[in-house]
Amino acid sequence: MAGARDIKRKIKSVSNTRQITKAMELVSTSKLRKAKSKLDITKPYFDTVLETIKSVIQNEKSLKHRFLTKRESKNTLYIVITADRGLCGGYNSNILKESVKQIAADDTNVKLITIGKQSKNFFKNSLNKTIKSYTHISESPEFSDARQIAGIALKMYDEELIDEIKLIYTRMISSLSLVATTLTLLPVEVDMEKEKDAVNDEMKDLVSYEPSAEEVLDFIIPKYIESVIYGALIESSAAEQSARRIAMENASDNADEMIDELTLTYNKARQSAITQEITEIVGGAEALK
Amino acid sequence: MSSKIHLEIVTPDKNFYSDDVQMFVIETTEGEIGVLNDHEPLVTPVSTGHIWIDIGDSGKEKNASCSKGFLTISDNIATVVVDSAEWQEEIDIERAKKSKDRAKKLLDARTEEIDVIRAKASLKRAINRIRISDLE
Repeated sequence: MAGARDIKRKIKSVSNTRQITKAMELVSTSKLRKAKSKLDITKPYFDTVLETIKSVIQNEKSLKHRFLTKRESKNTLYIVITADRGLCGGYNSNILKESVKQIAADDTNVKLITIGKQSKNFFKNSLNKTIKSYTHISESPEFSDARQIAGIALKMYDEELIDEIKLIYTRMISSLSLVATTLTLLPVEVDMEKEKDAVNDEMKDLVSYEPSAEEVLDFIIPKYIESVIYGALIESSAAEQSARRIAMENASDNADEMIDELTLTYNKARQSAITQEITEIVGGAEALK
Repeated sequence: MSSKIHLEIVTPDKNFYSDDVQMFVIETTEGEIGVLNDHEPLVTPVSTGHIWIDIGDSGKEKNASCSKGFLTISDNIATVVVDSAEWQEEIDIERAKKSKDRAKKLLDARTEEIDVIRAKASLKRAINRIRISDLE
């Protein structure tokens, strides 16, 4: 059995660690609250954009547009969103695993835009693939960041340097269930909902586009890309905080458990030391008789 | 049937406005349009400019500035989705003036092309804000 003093030192070190994990838990709890409220605020904007684009595409099925037609895929751009910092459980590794899986399954030429230090470092060795890395934006993303990223991606798409754009980010289904997801941004894939009844279709045909449907799409699709990227950034930042909170909560719980066990061992060690001392004194006194 | 149209203005940071209005005028890429109730379904881009809202009953009018986005109208609901929007009285003139000067300087210097496009957009936004805050 380790000496009482050693155990005491260990208890101290564990409780110091616990202090840190507890503090980090509290910090990410409050950050999570902020991120979640931001998520709630952006939701209506995001939904409106999505709805508009859906209805335009559904109405104008015959429309040929460069953002809608599939090209032969030679180059694919992946936008990978991770955190800047670690200590958040499987959050980063899940995203990186998902992106490795996607890239391995992809036989086209892969290009990357990474967001967050973790993915930047992860893809460091394939530097020729990384076009641009953004760091320090994943914790509190701004709309202008999303606009910039979308701008680069769309420019490359227009110049036919890339034929597909995919976004890999973490979806937050609930605060306990975080899923790494891949989403195709371009060409736009709007899952056509079940054909609405004829009357409704006829009504919708009357929608007018000014100046023309093509030009409206020219304008709206980049907006859609921007808002999807923005939405993904916001959702990822909330997911990161949520993952970190859970990881730190577990760490604090484990530390508590360890402290309990160590305290028990310490008490046992102390008790046996006292017993031994008494036995020695009694034994000594006995010998003197 | 009410003689009003429901207007919603959404930006990425907030739900800017949501109420029934008598009429509103907005600047599209094709020019200003006024929208009354029972407007035909429409989708159109909105340019950086001015939104004028007539609420009706109380006779109150509101002025706001907005940046690029788009407008959709269907079922007597008008939705304006823009990058940013501010009420006339909320505009920070000092900030707008500063960004106007900054954009002008950038344009005079003329470095890379992407900078020019951004600076022009920023200049346009700043001038628009200043213009709207000066409206009666």
